Amino acid sequence: MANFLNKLIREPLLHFVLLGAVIFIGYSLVATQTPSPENIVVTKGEINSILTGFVNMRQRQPTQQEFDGLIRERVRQEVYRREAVALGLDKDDIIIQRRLQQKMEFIVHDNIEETNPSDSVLQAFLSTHSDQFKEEPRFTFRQVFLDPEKRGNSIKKDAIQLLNQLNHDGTNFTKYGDPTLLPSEISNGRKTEISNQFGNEFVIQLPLESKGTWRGPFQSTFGLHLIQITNIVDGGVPALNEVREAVSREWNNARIREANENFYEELLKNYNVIIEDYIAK
Amino acid sequence: MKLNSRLFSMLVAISVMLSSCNSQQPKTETVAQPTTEKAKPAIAVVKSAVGNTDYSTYVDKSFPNRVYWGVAHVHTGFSFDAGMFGITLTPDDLFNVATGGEVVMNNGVRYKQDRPLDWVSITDHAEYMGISDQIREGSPDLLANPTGKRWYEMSQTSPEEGVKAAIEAVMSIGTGKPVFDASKLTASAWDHATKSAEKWNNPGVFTTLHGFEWTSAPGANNLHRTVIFRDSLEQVNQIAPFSAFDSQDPADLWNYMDAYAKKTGGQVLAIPHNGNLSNGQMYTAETFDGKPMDRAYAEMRASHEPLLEATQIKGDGETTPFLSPNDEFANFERWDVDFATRAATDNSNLKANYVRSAFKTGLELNAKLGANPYKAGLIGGNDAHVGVVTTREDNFFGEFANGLPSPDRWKTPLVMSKDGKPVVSVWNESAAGLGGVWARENTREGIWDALKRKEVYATTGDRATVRVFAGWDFVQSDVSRPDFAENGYAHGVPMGSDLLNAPANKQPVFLVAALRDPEGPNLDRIQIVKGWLDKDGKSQERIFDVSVSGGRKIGADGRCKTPVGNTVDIANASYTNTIGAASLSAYWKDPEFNANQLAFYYVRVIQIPSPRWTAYDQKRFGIKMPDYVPMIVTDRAYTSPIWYTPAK
Repeated sequence: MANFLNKLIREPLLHFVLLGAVIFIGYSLVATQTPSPENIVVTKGEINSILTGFVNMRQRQPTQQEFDGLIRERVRQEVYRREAVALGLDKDDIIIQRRLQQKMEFIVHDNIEETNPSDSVLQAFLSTHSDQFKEEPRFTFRQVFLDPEKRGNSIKKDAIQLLNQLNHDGTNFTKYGDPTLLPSEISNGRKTEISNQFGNEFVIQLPLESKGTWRGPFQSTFGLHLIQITNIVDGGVPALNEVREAVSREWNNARIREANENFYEELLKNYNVIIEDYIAK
Repeated sequence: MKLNSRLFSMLVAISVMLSSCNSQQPKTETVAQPTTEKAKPAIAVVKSAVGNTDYSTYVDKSFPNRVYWGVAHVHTGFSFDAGMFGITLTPDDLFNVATGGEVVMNNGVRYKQDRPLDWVSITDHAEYMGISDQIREGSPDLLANPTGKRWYEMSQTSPEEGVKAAIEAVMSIGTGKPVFDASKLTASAWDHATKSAEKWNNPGVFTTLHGFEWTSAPGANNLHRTVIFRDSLEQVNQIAPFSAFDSQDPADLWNYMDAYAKKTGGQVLAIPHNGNLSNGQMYTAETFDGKPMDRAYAEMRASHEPLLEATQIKGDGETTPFLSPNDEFANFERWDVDFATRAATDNSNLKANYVRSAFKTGLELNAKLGANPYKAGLIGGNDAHVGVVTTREDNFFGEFANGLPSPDRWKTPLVMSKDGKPVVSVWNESAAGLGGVWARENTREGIWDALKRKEVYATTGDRATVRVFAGWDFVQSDVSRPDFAENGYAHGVPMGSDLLNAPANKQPVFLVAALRDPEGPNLDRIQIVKGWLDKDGKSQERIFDVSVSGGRKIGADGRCKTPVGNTVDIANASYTNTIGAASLSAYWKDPEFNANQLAFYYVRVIQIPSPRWTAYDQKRFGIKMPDYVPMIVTDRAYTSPIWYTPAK
């Protein structure tokens, strides 16, 4: 059924018939009234804009003949526009409807872009939307890797033994453990960065307090790791200075969204919306 | 514009409400950006001097120590062949997703990447850039043109008609003549796109590089290049993107790049892609006009195009079985399609379609001309036209709008033969194309300079770490040194470099290490692909297995013919890392080295088999595809080569 309707809706003949009916009825309504002539004024501003358009395209002034033609066309356009609107021809045209919707949205948009947020506004936005801007904690740590491929079943035992050694001789930590492409030291690394290198499994085990001692073993997707965390910088909400651009961007987006929504809500108040029952299929 | 009074007063109220909470003071502070040292082509390791009082041993180290993942090739709805197919996502959307955000795709399905990327260059087509927005809006500029109006109407009629309009646009690019002048649209889209990239650039966390795609396709043969800038908004906005309507000749693109550099003091490079669809035109021994290359042309090409895109959704570009009959991994995600005849590419045209054969042609030309036009590194692109980067088998959102996830996407034809049979379909698409960049800093300078010096590599979608150094004096134990990289740079050269000055009676030594993607399949093996010029001046190629997993043996011929095995459960779209190895490393000397022969060496890392994206589709949609659709993939990585050139 839906298929049939779809086909029907796309049927050009149907469009033609309907359109014909609308024009006929519309015109007969208009034609019964006695028309009192309306003024069509081609303003100086319009003339100027027509001329600018011509000059931009042709890189010269129009001749008198061309000028007259341009103005005649403008008048013709205006006559047709008024008659078309009077007949309601703008109502079923998706191009016109979208363009009008867009123009309305641009009105809001243009009104907003002119303003520049002050620091106090941005600061307030940052505070109320802190989740959006929260920085990840940063870790500084050293790690020694134990490769399961090389150590097999003794890997756990080796790890405990190595941990002991490291807590006595930590300064030469790079000489312990197995070779790996993973970095032996991470300096001020964001959680995501560490996850990208060591995998997520490892990152979620990272202790949240720094201690000088070597700890572990911690399991990663690659094997076991002994680590010494020397510093953790808490995440939390950054200072405005560090994220001004991002806050400003999000603040602007938020108010454009909000303004469009408010504007629409206000307009909507002028209407009772009735949606007829429709059961798909 | 006339507004009725009710409306007007409402608008005033809204704008007052909005502005009352702001003071009008202009912002004066700028965000401090880390200063970046310009990366040098040769990286010197600073040795600690006597009396150096620094405690930290990491001070003064300048060698690249991390892989930064990204793509230098992806499209948004600003590209005509994305937007006209119904993609409305913008550069802001793409950057949002690349940094970890979520988006609703144009088929209503939500998308999030498995992990954020470190850097991205959005490369929307220069031709008709931004036209799709105009089509969607039915903009007066567009409707004033008969073709524009017709395309608009087609796009309103049905998705199928919209696709036909898009195809007309594609075909007009093949002619080099625009069906209407879109330069005004392009200028405004470029302005929008570059502003977005500037906004999302976040030194140290996420790098955006300004870029676009030059879509030259004479006779439908793909000569496309992405064009990638190192510079700021202020510089790139002094020019407009160069399009195939300006010229289809790559030499003109290089002139444009030179003019840009001269005008702005900036730097820019180009990356050719999809040689596999060039029908023998991409990596030839001739100029665009078909004349034999001369030295100046070869140098010009090499200096402007330091990288080749080796793999992406529209097929892998490394090699093909016809060119590499002894390479059992060669038959990988191939698209040997001749777009002009809409049939399979003739074998005679394959040589200029693939990067391995391009490197070989480069050696031959080097011997003849004294310059190698194809001395270029390898990088992966993605080329998705759906508004996001999508490279994972388990999270693949397709090349075009018709490849967005749906139960029947796999059978949608992309190119039909003249007798109406599909030549390539959506199931041929490869969830592929990432670039790994070795750098020390995630900044525009850090990333771009690594691209320029070729210290980058390609993967077919996953994030395996690969490192290689070549030198003359490495010893076996160097491969397990804790300071592997520091020692590698001090006594050798990394991927993308030249190995020079062969000492008498020495063979080049390669140190290679690879680590699988922390969230991906184990590694099967590490290989070195060697190409060289034999005594007759003819280029040759062969493969050496240099490290294999699971205790398998490499034979005297340098090969291990025992496959790694397979854990893929197709029905459940799953695999286990119970075969292969999480990391592999190799110490390898070229046993066939001849100091008088030009040669190149690149590393190929093969992962264990894993479910292809089509297997995930079967499972998630509960469907069954025919047997000709592959369900298993062996993803891989290709590094930039290291070249050996004999002393004169």
